[in-house]
Amino acid sequence: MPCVAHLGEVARNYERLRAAGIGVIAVGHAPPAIVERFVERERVPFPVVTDPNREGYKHVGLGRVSVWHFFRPRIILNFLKLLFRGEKIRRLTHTEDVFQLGGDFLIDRSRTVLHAYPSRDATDRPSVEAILSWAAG
Amino acid sequence: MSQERDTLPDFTFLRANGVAVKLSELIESDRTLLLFLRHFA
Repeated sequence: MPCVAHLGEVARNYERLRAAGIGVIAVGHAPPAIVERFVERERVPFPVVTDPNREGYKHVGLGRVSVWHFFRPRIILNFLKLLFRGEKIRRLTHTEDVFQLGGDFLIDRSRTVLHAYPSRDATDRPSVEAILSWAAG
Repeated sequence: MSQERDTLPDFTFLRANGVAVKLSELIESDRTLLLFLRHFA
């Protein structure tokens, strides 16, 4: 849910990002059929692709967390905040790994990482303002 | 890895229709936010 909420925030601010010269590519790790359903449901204005072997995740150092991670007060509080904001809990398919962490990486045309933001936990994502500041810096 | 100023390999991803696509083929801007998701739920 935090991940999709973040994607929604990025999608709502896509024009601002484009105006700042930033394109967006979303990468998941589910099978293509799950991606297809997601794209039909969310209709985000940028490419959504999948990395089933998680080569990209591994390369940028995005690891997995344990089940105990979700019992931390900060994580529970952040999930509750999202629920109060109206975010929906959707059923995970068995093909998805809830323990995988995500992250945001600003890269240039030659794929050089200009800014790396690997999520510290399951609810940790940068704001759009932060992403814009990376590009400005 | 040292994430600052690292150059990513030209990863091969899959589109929703299952067709393979290189990261370099998806990049259309001077700067691109590569957003790795935890899951699609």
